[in-house]
Amino acid sequence: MSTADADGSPKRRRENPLESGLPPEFTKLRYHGKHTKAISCLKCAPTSREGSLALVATGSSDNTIKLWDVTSSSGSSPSTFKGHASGINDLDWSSDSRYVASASDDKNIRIWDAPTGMPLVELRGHTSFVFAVAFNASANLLVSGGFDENVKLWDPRTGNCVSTIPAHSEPITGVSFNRDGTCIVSSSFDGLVRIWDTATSSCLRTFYAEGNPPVSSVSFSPNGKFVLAGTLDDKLRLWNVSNVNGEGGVAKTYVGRHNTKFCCGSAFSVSNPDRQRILAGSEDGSVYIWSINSRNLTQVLKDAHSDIVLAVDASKEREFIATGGSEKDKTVKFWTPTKADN
Amino acid sequence: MPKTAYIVQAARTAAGRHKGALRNVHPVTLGSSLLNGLVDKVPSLDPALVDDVVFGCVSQAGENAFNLARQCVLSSKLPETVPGTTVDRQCGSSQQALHFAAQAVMSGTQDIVIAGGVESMTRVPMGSNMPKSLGAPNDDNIKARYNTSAGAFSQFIGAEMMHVKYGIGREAMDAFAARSHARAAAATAEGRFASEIIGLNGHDKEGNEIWFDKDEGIREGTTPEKLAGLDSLIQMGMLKPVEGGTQEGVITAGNASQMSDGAAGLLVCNEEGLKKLGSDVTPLAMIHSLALAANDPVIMLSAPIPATEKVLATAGLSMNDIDLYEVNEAFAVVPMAWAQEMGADEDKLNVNGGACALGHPLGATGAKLMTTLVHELVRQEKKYGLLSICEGGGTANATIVERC
Repeated sequence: MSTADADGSPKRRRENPLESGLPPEFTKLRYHGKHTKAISCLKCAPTSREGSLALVATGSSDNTIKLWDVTSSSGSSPSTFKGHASGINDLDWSSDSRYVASASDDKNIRIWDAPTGMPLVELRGHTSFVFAVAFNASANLLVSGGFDENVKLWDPRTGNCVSTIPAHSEPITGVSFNRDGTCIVSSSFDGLVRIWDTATSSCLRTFYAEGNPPVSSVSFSPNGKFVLAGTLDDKLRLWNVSNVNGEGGVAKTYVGRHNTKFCCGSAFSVSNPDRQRILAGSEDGSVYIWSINSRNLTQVLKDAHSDIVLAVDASKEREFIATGGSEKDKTVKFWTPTKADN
Repeated sequence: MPKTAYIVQAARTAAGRHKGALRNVHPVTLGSSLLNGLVDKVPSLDPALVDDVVFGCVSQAGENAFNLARQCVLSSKLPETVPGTTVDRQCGSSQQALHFAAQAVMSGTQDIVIAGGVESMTRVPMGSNMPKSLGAPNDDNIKARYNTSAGAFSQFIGAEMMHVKYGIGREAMDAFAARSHARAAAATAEGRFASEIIGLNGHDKEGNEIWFDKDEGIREGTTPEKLAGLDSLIQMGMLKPVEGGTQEGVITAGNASQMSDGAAGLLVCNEEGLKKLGSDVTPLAMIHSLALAANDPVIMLSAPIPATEKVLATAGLSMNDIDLYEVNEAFAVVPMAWAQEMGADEDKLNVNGGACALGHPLGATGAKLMTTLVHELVRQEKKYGLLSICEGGGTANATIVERC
């Protein structure tokens, strides 16, 4: 006899890795980094220098961005980017790891030269907090979303706004390009996720979860076929964008984490084809990791931080996770696959 | 001989967007702020002489529960000797409150009544008083009568049915909605709402405290082309197509009313009440005629048409005699169908914009629209105004007022 899961798929008896005695998949590195206030966002660079595990940019309510060159043996002193007048809400790297874009409560977006920390361009136009930012794959376009409910497209070289889409009726919480940059996805506290045609700014799809909970985060999957949306009902949903409309199209639902108030981030970890994961920060200070396909919780980084985990990301190069804690914690921590003798 | 019901003063808060500037204001505080502001507009009024406060509210649950009108009195500077009662005639609740106030003073059983309404759709969302755990409003008799299994009739399906019945298409609806925004923006810029809005403390998007005295829902620069880009409710999967309608549907968030927070109220007196206020007080208008109509609850939204026919017949007036109309834009198709059937001049209809732009704080809307209608009659020095609102359940109130 089978019963249905929350997303309607039959429930099968599964071995729970959390109870199976298997070693945890990820272990924390000994060192960590710190800001002077909450870490609100972080992103792993697409490529790191030789000998490094990862290059990680963190953004904080202390108005700065820090770059951490993480190796297996030590953490370097970070370089610090200063210039924003208010807290940082989101970051993204260009695909060549040369540039970092930052979205801030000062209503502006900045593009930084990563090797030197020099601010290159300031993008002005949002009329309220800028909450989300993303480069397209060729880094010739930048998309942003703000509390002014607009999605804006920018030329990052000139800083000119290419178009403005009045995308939602409440603050925007996430934006992302798909793999080939032809589509943008946006999420909002209005409960809607929308997919837009980049070239025409027309809305291609609108979808929402049952009960229309506010959407706290959104991103395209690396293969562009799915959208991962976090909602303030503790759930993450993977939507199949090829057949989604309205309430339909949920391919998978991931449950277990606590998220009803804050925009706790999530990310895909797909560098190991045998261990494809989704990870997400939680309001209980832990980080939750699920198998993408089976939806099983494969690990909980319990009490990873002493405050809400808003910021998580995984490297695309290798298995590596970075997590950031909120105001009482202020630390960025780095996690790598557990070694056999651990 | 019945007495006359005079509207001595009329006022409203600016309408906050859903989760907007008034998101942190308890609805009782919203209502008491309105009461205080209305009383302040009539310095010669001794608040203790108010015989009753009749407020409309639709979602009477949570912060709206426990007889909201009385709660608003207790929260205001009115003495605790002033009673209060709360009315539910769905979207026309505060228009019904005005009718009850008018009937009370016309009968002489009361002399001074405040009629109005309050709704915080942010804090008490629509449907809060119908949780699934308590069952649905349609019993087996209603289901059998209307051959339905629905627990409650849907206004959204009704709006799609209005499109089919009256042949009003998507393009025309979007144009009407865009015009609503343009008219509301112009009215705001010209200060036409200044005499009716009572300011109060709210919060901006960034959480800073602000003085809130401007309607928040208006989107300047809205065009039919922008509205045409919105998915319909059917395209979003929220509704199925209706018989005779298109597969794509026509009703969108853009050509429908906005969810809002707000309060509005009118001070209603008879001749005795005016004497108590003193000779310096000149009423804004008087209630000329009242009517109520009811028809098909499934289509739900067409009753303003028979309600208007009734009130004109009662008044002995024709549409040509009416200088200004306010017909609630629950959906753009509602006033459009009304205008088509009544042969109304659309240049006299919702001249300062309507709910597509200004919002529809459900239980407050009747008093809100009457406030705007009365002040616009005074501003333009016109004589007759007509208000009608479609109501859940397939009813509608209609009121004709005459400027004093």
